Amino acid sequence: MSTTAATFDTAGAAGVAPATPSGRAATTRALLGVMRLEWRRQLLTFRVLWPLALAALPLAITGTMAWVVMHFPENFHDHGTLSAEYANLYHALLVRVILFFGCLALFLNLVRGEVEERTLHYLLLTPVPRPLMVIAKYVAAVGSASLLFGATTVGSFLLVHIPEGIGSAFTGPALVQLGSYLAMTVLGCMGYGGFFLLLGSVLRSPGPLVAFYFAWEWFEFLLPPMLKQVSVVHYLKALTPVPIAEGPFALLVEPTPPAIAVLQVMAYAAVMVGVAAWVASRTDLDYGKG
Amino acid sequence: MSAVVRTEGVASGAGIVFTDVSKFYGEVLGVNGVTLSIEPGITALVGPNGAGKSTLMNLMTGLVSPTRGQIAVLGHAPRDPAVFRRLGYCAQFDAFPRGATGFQFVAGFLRLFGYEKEEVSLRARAAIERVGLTEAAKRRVAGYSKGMRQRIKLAQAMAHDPAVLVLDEPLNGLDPMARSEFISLFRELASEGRHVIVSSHILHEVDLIADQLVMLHQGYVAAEGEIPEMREEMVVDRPMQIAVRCSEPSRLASRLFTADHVIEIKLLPDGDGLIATTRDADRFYLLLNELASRGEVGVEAVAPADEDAHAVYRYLVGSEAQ
Repeated sequence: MSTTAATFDTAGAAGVAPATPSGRAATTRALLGVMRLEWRRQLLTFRVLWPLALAALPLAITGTMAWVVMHFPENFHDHGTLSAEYANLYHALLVRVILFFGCLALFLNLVRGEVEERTLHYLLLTPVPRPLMVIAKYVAAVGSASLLFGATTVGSFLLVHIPEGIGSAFTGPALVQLGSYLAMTVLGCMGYGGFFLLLGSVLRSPGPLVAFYFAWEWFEFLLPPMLKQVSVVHYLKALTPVPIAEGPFALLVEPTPPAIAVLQVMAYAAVMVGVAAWVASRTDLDYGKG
Repeated sequence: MSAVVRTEGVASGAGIVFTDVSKFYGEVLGVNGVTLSIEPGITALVGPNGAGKSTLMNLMTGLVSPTRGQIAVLGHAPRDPAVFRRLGYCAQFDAFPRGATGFQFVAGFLRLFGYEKEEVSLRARAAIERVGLTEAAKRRVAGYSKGMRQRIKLAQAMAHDPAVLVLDEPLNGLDPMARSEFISLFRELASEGRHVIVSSHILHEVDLIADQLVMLHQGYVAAEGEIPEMREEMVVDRPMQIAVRCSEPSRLASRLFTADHVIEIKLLPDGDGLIATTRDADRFYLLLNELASRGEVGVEAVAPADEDAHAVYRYLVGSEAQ
């Protein structure tokens, strides 16, 4: 072990304030540091495998669809149905399954995973205030989820358009649709992410509540109008560029204007993240008593 | 149980000050009624598992909040970000971010102190060099030996040059050479005016390390102070063991037993001395001098046999001392 102090100074030792940075720039660097650690944790370790597998599933399905359409064109005279089928597929598979379980994997362990791995103290013993740390981790996870599932959204959308020629995906209406789907994917990540972040912050065994929430989102079309207001799916449907079939038993309500739907999802996420940040600021960390 | 708790300086703004601090985990006691002041230098928290060492450390680092009482670290509340800029903590857990190399581990958390990129790199390298891991810095921590993992944790804890270093069982799992190196480093850090707080359940270890001891037992501070001073305070009218190296231990034993303050004598297995237990060390030494000066026994060496942490702890808490 070296006995030289290298660049260490002892100013911080004997009661004199050390030369640690402060101010807005330092806080920004610190928050980016939290996000960088989170990205490394989520995207560069085996943790990424489950979300990655989920993200690949729609690509496999839409790729198969495209192959079938190209090889059996006689069954698909009306290419307009592809848009509707993609819209239904997007809601049934991408939102309700892929985004739901992908965000479950990415957000539930933002705090809980660090406690289980006994690494949270490294973060808590830095000058980053706990609420800001939680928010930075959430933003990082929204970035990870948007990257993975945004790529899936774009990829599956392009695959669906292959039978018509890939160029058809870059025409005006198709680009608007793609933009809408991408926005929905990001908003879905924000909404589900906020919920799972909070769930992982307050519950040790969130399984039953996850199952309930899955059913809640899946059967949102059966919920009475009042309860639809607390469903992420409800607001995402308001942003769908192509009308989707809801089935004969659906309880229909007046569609929410897109701008309101966006704000509602953001508000929903903000409340969840805000509560998670508040919980983090008040919670004791104790891996076990010594 | 006797408690020798010094409360001088508790009200001062410097150091780490606990004022009537208790922590309960539901019904379970973590620590209770702790009032103490920790000054710069090496302070050892000693006690068996469950004594409250980690709870005390978690309290001073703000990881847990007290149920009752107040804590001040360098004049601030433990969760004040100002404290985190000046505090480093090396937890007992052998846990690291997955996939990180030694350098990434140290630098990654250093960024959270707001340093610029170049400063992060310089400080991380300096800390890693100080613990002697420069050559292994680019290897993954998962592939490190136990000793190397302890070193890299220490580097992470001190990379931001903290005034207070809290080290939970830092010598666990280290070989004798590494222990010696760590102890030297702790002394070096303490000599720079830092608070170095070390926990251990191995009592003889802290004799080598600490300037000051805080002995914990079942959540209470059993004693606090420097080892000889604590022994002195405690042994008034209490038995003390004294080892005597001499040529005729049996003859000496028979003479010593005539004194009323000598309550037990054990002959050493090697036949070259004895250990006497006395209620009055001063009178014992006077008697021994008298016997030696009269030439009745040839005394080669005399030393307190229990002026170490183990004896102090055994005295304080009975048979549970390790």
